[in-house]
Amino acid sequence: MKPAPFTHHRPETVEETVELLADLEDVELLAGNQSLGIVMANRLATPDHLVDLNGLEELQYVEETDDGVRIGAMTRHRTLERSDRLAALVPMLPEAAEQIAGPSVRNQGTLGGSIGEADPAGNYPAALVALDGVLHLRSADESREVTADDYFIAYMFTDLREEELIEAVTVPTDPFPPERTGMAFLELKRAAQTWPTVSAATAVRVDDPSADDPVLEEVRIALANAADIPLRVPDAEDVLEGEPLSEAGLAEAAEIVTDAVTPEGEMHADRDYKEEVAGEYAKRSLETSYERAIDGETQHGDTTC
Amino acid sequence: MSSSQPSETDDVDVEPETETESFTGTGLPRVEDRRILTGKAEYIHDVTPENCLHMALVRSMHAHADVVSIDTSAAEDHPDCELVLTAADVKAEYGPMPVGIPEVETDDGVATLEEWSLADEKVRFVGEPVAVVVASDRYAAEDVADLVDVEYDPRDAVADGMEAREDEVLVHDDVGTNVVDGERLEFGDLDDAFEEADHVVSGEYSWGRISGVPLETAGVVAQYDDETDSFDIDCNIQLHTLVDEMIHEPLGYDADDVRVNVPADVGGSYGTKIGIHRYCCLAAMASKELERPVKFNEDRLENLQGGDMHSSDREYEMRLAVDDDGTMRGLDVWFVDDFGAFPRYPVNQVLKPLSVLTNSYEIDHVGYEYELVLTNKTSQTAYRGFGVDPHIYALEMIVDEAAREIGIDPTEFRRRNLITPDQLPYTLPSKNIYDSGDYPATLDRIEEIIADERDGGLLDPEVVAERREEGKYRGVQPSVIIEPGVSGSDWTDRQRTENDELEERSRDEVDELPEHLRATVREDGTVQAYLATDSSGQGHQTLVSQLLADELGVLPSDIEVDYLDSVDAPTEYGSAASRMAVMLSGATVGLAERVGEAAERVAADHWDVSTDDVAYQDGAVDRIGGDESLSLAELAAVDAERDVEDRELTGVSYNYDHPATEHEEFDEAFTRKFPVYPTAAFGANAPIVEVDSRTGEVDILKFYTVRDCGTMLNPMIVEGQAHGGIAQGVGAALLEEFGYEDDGQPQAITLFDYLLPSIENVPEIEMEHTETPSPYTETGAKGVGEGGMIDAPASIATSINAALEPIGADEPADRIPVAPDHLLEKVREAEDESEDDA
Amino acid sequence: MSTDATGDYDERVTEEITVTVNGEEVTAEVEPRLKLSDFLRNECGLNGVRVGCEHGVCGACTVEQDGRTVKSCLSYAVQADGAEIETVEGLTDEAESEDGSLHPIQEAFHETHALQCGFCTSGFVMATKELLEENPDPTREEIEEGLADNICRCTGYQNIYEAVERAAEEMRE
Repeated sequence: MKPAPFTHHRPETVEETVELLADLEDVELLAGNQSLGIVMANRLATPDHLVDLNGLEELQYVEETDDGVRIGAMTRHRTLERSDRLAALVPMLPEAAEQIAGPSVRNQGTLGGSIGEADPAGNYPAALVALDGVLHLRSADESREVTADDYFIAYMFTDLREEELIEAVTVPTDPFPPERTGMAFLELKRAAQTWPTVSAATAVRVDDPSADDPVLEEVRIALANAADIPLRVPDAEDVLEGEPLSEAGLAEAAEIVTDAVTPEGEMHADRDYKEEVAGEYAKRSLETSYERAIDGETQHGDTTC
Repeated sequence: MSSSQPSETDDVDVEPETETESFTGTGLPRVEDRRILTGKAEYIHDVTPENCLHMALVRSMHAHADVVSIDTSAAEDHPDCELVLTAADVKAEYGPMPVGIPEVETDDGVATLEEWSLADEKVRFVGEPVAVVVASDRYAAEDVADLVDVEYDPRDAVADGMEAREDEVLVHDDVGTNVVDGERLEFGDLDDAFEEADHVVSGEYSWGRISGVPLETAGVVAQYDDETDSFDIDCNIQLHTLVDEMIHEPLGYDADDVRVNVPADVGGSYGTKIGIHRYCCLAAMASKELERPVKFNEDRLENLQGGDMHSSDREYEMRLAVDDDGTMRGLDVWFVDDFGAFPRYPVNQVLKPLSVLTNSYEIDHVGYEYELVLTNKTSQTAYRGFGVDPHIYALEMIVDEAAREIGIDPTEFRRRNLITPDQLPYTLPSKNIYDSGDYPATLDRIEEIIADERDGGLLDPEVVAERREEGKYRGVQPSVIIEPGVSGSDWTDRQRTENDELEERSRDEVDELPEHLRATVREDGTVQAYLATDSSGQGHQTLVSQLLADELGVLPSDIEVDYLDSVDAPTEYGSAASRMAVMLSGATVGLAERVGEAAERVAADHWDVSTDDVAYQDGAVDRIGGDESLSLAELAAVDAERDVEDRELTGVSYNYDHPATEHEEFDEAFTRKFPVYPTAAFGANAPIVEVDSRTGEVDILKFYTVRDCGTMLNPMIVEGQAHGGIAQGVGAALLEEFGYEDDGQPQAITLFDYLLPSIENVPEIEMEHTETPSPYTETGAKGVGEGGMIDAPASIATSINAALEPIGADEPADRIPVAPDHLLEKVREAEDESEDDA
Repeated sequence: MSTDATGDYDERVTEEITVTVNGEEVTAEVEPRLKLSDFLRNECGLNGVRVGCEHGVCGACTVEQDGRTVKSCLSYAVQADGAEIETVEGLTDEAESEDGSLHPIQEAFHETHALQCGFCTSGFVMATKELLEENPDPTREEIEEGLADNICRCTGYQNIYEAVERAAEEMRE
């Protein structure tokens, strides 16, 4: 499991990076290297050039903007997991981060790496699709923004062009005022070291958390590892919006999710199974989000199921 | 006693509190630990002689294909390439590797089954080695391996044991069948038992392909010596004194010319590394060709898909004949074991269950039938339990099924059929003997523990009801499970002998391998002992240190324990089959006596008196009736003055005989083809499980276990073995499997897919012990290494059955591992049925 | 691929790196593809860095880079240029080890029998070090989370909990 030879480039700036990307042929970007290195060790990838992004300190940040949060692509899982600001504003992201493998993987792995890899089982892709995240892409020629929804095209295939770098991600916070919002990222995962069988990312906003039966104003549901891309399920969102969360509503939403997903079967989790648990986990995730919205709890980590 | 301490045996400063206390029986911290904890331990991966070259293998990506051609020219042109070998090179110079079943009876006579270290003409599983390349380092070797161009003509593959029986796809064309062995054995009056019984209950159970997967992969460094025309092979093979023939035979050399040496530290084996001889042979051939040391470290992908290291893969059909009063009358076992492409250690692994045929139950009439089939998968090796684990699982499943069918509480049903203490020693229908113990008391104790949990604990009815509201079902099913200990080699010979010849056999003809141990008293009075076995984490150096210290009346720090290679050691069995607690302790006690006697002879000679006038005690020989005394250091100095061949305190050795050969109770067993395992450790487990009926997830909330392995030589090590075995049992029961696609492509080639239990998967284990010494062994110890892996999967599976009983699921844990998709399907089936009933 | 169809092979290109390993500066010429784990083992002789899976699962190769644990099989030596690396060998001060003293974490693993074959042990010790540096008094659940990147196939983890708790206690004092 030794990689084929490559040339290593370690740019210090984004500018330098995009120029390298423009100039070089057969390049892979190296972020936290928790996935690419494995594919290279198996020689399933044999790039001539590796552009190592670990020198790009300018891409390691979490900042609040006027209408959301902006996170640099080289921000580590560990940083996301421990960010108080994210916990307050978009708690789904730290909750998604803290469930990735263990500490040493999270010390290295990055947000941008996960989005670049675009594995449909990944945590951030589903979270960003649920939250209407926007990706900020940059090449030597231009900067552009692509919504997460448009970015993921097919299995591990995205809108990212060969000469482009993911600079940052922004997540709008306007739809989710913390005092009326609940979010949850729930994984069905059999062991710490593996990918989740399915994950359900949900976010809800209620009209009045102190009401007897707060009405759902906004609902987001996205599933990981349940289709060839991270899958948003708008039909399930629609049936829940405008009502308080009810058993009947949850059951209907779960059924819609089960019908909507198109997972690949895998060992110990065949296709029928994944369809069913995608619905069940969407339901559980929604219940948690709703409880959190009502409790006014914004901190992640208090999953009740 | 000498005050100087050998540096390697380091920091052991534990002393018995009084003169009469001993180190044996205490949790003496291990002497192995320091070198490991400081990173200084030398495992095989760390052995890199000067001038060493590195080997990589070109492996098949097809499950079944004809090899049309192999073009090595591009590889040979690579500047870093030192050597490329293919099957043609191997066949020109060397022989095939021994196979477990060399000849198969067919309709047309006898067909031979050959396995070459590199695939010849046809590949039979994904990962099968096709070519060797050697280069300056492993990176370059993989570059070169990429340049070997193999042209394949793919064939249909068969990757399912039951399907392979149909012989539509033949793994070995010449053999004409995939069913290369099979036998039906009957004990008692099976037909009568089944005809007369009030009920006959049947069930089908499946045991998926799992294995040990040690964290350290296989490794070898082979060095050919041109001058002596011999090999030095350092490797992490298990049982290096027993299976060294697997290396020297294919090489075509005598045992004495192939020195197989295993480092003191091996990173886990659990049986699996018995089967790494292919790598040893190939590295040796490359080394001879190049006249330089050649190193091979298997990488994890190689290990998981083509490492010859998977284990039992069985489909069972069980029948139990039961009376209305809950008496088990008869048991009928049928199974198929899918051995993969070549039968490596086949017959022993399918027959070992005969040593615990009816587990803890008295069942007089038993049928046992197996078919051994070959498929397009990697070959099996041994794994902790050696085929007993699936048998116990299938047996406990049919017991559950029968209890529910006849309407008896499953625990009560078990209790009614337990072998009782007054029946011990108990001879099984298959003639092995359970030595000692109290199974009903063990079941009582585990039930008390469960009763406590029912009263305000995890199984409190209120809690259980609450969880059920959320679709989560809790349950537990205790049972008493036996672990056979101390295998023997005579059994393998008996299998190859005709029945009538066996019946006339006397005990003198029994040919068991003893456990060899030797020692030298060094000039500083410390003792250097040598093990003839290899170790992979069991703490043998500690065990010998503490026992020898007690027996010689010195400190463990005065003992240093090292290892012998295959040439210096006699052929002996080694560390496997829950042997070493018994064999090594027996050997140590005997060796100490020999050392004491030798010391007495040296002293008597020195003082010119009779040996009756001297006595060894606590590290010195005293002259009886006088003040004179000679310490071990002084005796060693005296001894060193003698001619080398006359020295008494150098190379003192002892061979501890297999305990079964010393007891006439086993005579009958030695005239049959069945296994003799003279110790029966036992235990009762109570894993409290919670099943999520909406997702099929299983959570083990707590794992209670009450265990008895006779005298505990080092309770800390005993508990560690049980913890580890249980954790492997958890993995087997819930997580691990080498699944295959129908076309023979493996589904688990990384550790993302072959799920080893992480710290989050292993529940809290609460363990109690009782100590019923074995009457058959020197120290009363029983074999203990495999227990958890043998009993935990069955306990977890039957506890899942118990948990889901309220929804009427029909033995839902009928496949190992109990995969979430399968479990959810069983829950849905039960729900549909109850709806139909309503 | 290092070759083209005509059989011309690229020279093996190396880069110079300087890494502080267990407090000592090491300068070496390495291929960019050389894994950090192989660099530490083969170039620095630090065999305590064990290689169990080479795909970031087992954690046997865990070392600290600039104070954070990393799986050294998943990074390249060139990425450690200018960094400080600590391996299990760095935990035992050589002068002290002469008299038999170990780091409290190593000592706790020894006393509680938290290792058997020992192949995973270096990784567990390093992961425990980071855990206890961040959380001197972890609960069982926090130990579970802290050691989730490491696999042990022998001990069933029971004594590893004990070891971490004992080491934590020792280090708090």
